[in-house]
Amino acid sequence: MAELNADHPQNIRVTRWERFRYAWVGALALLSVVALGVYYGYASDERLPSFHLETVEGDSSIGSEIRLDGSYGGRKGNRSMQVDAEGTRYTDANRVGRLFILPFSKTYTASTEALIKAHREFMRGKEYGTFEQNEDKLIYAELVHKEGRAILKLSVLNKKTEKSENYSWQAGSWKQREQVYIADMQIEGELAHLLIIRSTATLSNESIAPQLFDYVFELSAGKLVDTREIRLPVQAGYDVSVANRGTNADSVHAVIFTSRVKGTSTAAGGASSQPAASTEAPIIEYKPFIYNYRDGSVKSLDLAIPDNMTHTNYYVDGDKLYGVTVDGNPVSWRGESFNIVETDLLTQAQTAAYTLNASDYGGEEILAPRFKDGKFYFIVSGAQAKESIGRASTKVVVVEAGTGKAVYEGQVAYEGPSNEAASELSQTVLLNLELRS
Amino acid sequence: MSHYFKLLAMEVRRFRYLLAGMMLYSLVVECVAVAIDIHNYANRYGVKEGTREPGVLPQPYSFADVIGNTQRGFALGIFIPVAALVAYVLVIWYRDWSGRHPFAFRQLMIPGGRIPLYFAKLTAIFLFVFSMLAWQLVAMAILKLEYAMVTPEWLEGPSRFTDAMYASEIFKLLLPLHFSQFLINYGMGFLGVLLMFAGILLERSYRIRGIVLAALYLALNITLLVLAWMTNELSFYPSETVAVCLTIFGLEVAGAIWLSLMLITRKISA
Repeated sequence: MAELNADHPQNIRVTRWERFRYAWVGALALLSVVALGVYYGYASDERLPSFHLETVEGDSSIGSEIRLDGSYGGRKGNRSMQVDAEGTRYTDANRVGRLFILPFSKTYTASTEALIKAHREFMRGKEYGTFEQNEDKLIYAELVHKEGRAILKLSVLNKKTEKSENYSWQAGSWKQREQVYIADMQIEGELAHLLIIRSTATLSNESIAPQLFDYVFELSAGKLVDTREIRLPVQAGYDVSVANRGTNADSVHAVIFTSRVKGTSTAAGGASSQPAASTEAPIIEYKPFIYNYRDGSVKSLDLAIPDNMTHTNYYVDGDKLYGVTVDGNPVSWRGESFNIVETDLLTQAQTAAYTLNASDYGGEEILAPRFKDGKFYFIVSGAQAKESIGRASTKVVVVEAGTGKAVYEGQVAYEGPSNEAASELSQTVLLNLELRS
Repeated sequence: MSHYFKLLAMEVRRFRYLLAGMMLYSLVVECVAVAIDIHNYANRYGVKEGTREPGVLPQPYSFADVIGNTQRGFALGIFIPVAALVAYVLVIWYRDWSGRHPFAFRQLMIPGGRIPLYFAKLTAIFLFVFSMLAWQLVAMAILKLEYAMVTPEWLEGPSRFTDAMYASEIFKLLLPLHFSQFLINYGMGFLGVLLMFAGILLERSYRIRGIVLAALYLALNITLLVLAWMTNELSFYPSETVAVCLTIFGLEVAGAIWLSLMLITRKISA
């Protein structure tokens, strides 16, 4: 009994000590769980606002094809975002782990994203080349450099069966300082045409004596049936570019622009000598040509070249050529208006000309022209908001390319209380428009 | 389980003063950095000389601005504790082997097996790391109070807590705003600690040869991770690259724990 009594106080001490022993562990665990729990459960949420592209007028299915890219500046540091008809996606919010930035933060263009969604297996590893499609086929072409040779890779997908075939062939050499790229690709019936431009750059980065080739590939047989060199009736010493293509497949025309600084003399071998140094901007002469994929013919195109040619985009759509030029702004792709000119490639006659003014749509600037299926897409942005980087409003206007008639009007709307809308919208900068196609 | 908790409690007790000291150090350094920055900013507008023109209001200086402009002060307050914690990953093992009568001898002989010893040390490291992070969040609340007290009223500007956290380059890494990013950052840290533990146990088991084996083991794991990451360069979609990375991560975690437990239970001796 005496022994038990003697032990009793010691047992109490041990129990108290045992409890105290875990106090630090408990305190640290509690601190960690509570502080980090509150932070990640509530405090770290930036509550970034959500916006969407709202149809104001026209077919809402046109709006669902549009994605606006830009940023939101209402927080410390701008947040990259994409806005479409469904809502807002903050792209930098996906950036998980700085060590693993690339796989987590990778974003695709709207058109590539749409193709991946539709043809995931075919699109694997296909991102940087050129796509063309019609109702039955989707083709992808890419030029790769291999031991001084240019290898043209072509993948053809049958959209109905989702079966694909891959082909490749050598498209000449690819020497040092030589640029080789796919300038255009077109499906014409059972044939695919790949327009390749090859040029050599001088030390001052001018390209000399560019060569154009049309590789004709028969899709049903899966073989290259012809290689045509396109010879343009111009002197040497010019540069060359090809008009963009609308998504109208089975078109037979490509419009090729040659350009040369006025006053340059042509040296033997095709290299051009520069005019004497001048403080004035060099005047560039342009000569357009129509190349016919069907018969391989080249015709000169009688086209009025706009003064602001460096800020003019040309698009071929069937037998029509559309030129879109920013008006009154020689240094940027945004301005108060855009001039649009339609030319018939068969008759070479100008068939329409009109101007789209930002003010007609309640904005200050019109920008980011895009073309698809005979329609032009523009962003019309409002005035710069006070003490903010954003614009008071952002609208999207879609017009028929031939007439300029608006077929769709949409605006970026805030998904929240209306009394916050103006201040939140004034923090948005959406200056890029992409199309899913 | 009780052995594990007892060992964990012991590890925490051994580090408690150093941990408390680091917490105090980071708080003091950050408080001083914030006070100096606000003082300097206010003086630019003639507060010190009393030459501030009435009616001329400077740009508001929000708490987020202060945090954004005290990067070096925060670096000083955070890097030393981080370095101490990294060093302690080694010290937590080697201190038990130091001295004439290594404590490791008794630790390895305690009833209940050696596995709790490994997990107690691992948990202790993570408890210290998360405690320091949690303390940093508490410190931010204290710094916000300091900002409210020290900043002249006419200089104060509104800012969100997230803006203050985002303004700091260190917090973008240590306390990222998105929990998924936090999981990745500390998942990598967790793997790093496991690999270091495995390396230490290899060295304790095979001495000089163990160092070579540990170096090879670390190189293998790093190579595997880099290869997993490089699938991004192949024809993989981002979600597939993430899946490959997570699989390799899981295998490496499992491999490191298995190797460590095998060494500590079968090979290592005091």
